[in-house]
Amino acid sequence: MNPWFRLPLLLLGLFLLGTTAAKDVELLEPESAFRFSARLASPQEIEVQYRIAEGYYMYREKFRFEINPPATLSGNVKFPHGKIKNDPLFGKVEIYRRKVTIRIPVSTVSADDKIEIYVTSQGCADAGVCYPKMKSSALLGMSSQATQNDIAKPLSSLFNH
Amino acid sequence: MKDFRLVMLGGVIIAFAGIALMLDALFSPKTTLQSEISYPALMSISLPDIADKPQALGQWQGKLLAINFWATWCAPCREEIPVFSLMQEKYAAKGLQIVGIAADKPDKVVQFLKTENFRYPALIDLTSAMDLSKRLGNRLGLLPHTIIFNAEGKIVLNKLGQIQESELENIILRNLAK
Repeated sequence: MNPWFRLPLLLLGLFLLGTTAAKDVELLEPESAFRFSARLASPQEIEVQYRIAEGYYMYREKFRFEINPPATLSGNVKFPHGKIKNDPLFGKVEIYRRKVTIRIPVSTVSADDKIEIYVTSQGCADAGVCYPKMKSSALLGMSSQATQNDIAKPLSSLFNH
Repeated sequence: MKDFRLVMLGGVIIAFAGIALMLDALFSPKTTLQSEISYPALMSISLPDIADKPQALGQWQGKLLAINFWATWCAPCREEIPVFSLMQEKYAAKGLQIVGIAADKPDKVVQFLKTENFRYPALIDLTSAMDLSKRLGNRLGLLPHTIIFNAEGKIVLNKLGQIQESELENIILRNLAK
């Protein structure tokens, strides 16, 4: 083929790619946009993780944690460094994309102990919409994590305003 | 050679059109929202204003009515408020009425309104505002959500996500009573 005619074909390909993408974009269910999981990483630490869909992000300052029994919390929650987003209204805010893993120190958990964790979070989509606060929870134990591939299934994931 | 240039030009135009469509799709969510509430039923609903006084939506029946669901914690919601205020000032005399319904805590809304140049009625109800938004088609409960009814009660826009000034003004101009 005449190499000069390859460029229009390439451009046509870009057009088709663009129109295909246009058809595919749809806002995700919150549980799909922000996939929650939690596990006991060790007898002294809970690991909470959100896998964040492409084009979505979560606010660091919106995370809230509640642990039952409360006495098991034994220090400050450790957040990773996020990206700084310059918000015209809220100023500099720290956000997470793709994945965030948060570590929560707890007093030593024995084999038979169960810990309930409740996490409140909030995120938005680059498409210009925000999701209301999401509450996720999990029941964790040293014995149960071995049978659940180290990831405790969330008990519930529901919205709360 | 002239034919080749034409083919190239056509290719470039088509490619740009495709890229523009893709960018548009990336930055504007799908808006195929289906309302399950009729216009007369909507007009019979009352919600409290910032003074906790019930305000019937029916008082704006027959106007070009734009209802904007928002919250103080929602950045894109706050960004579009000046656009709604501008349109309200510009077209109120011609039959436009904008109403903001906050799915938020009243104290936060009252505090916010002290700093914001909010030029249209603000109604507030943390729970029932979101329920109403969902019944109007916002299944996932996302914000902002804007729904516009023409004077006959027909929905002319039902959109999730931040609305741009030109988009809003075009809809207003197309639907204001002549």
